[in-house]
Amino acid sequence: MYTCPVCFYPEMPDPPKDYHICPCCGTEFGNDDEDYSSEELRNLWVHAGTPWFFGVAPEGWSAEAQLLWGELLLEEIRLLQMSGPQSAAMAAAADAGASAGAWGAVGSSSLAHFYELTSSSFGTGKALLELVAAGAVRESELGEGELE
Amino acid sequence: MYQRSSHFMKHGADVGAVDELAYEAMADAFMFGQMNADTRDCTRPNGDDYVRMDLVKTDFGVSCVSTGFLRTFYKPPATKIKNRGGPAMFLASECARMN
Repeated sequence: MYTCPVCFYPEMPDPPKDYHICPCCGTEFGNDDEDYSSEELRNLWVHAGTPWFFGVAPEGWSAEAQLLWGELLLEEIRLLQMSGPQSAAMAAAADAGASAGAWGAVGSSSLAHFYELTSSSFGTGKALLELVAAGAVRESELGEGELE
Repeated sequence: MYQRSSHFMKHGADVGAVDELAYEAMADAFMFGQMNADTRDCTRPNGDDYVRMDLVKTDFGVSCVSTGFLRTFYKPPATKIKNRGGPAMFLASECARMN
């Protein structure tokens, strides 16, 4: 399973590339993200009311909880990048495996575990570093100057 | 099957497909059938993405060379095509994509 960099849905059946479509937000990677950043697409999805795209949403699914979890990830990434060199991210990714595998590592949690994470203190930071190294988060999402 | 279903949900109405099977048939015919006079094709620099576009109808598709599978088939929004300078420029930019 893979995590969607737009809506943070953690159980995409295919990697977010090669025109695969997120079942949650409906983003087609390679198409929709050609002209818009993940952050811009996320904002469009939020402004549309966070509709579930494909079929019926999983039982207990909450767009708010999912976005909160994702925003927490982004915040931890910001903090980590402000406090440490980017090489730390690469080292963590190398430790976790190939970049494509890093996606899987982040998104491998079951939905139950995912919701557990949203309501508890989260983060050794490793998963976040994997997200950065895998290119899941663009610099535009981190704010000006925060990568310097 | 999920990919076919999700692509139909996203693009089926735009290309005039009434159901998943019709969408797949249209995509197959467009990507693997004989090209009409308005259609151009290319292979991206990665060597694995085969691209076709009908410059008049603006139907657009991508298939995977190594597997022979469809990747996508849709009609890009008119504004997206216009922003890239028209159908020919849109196709040129898609053909040149490195990712």
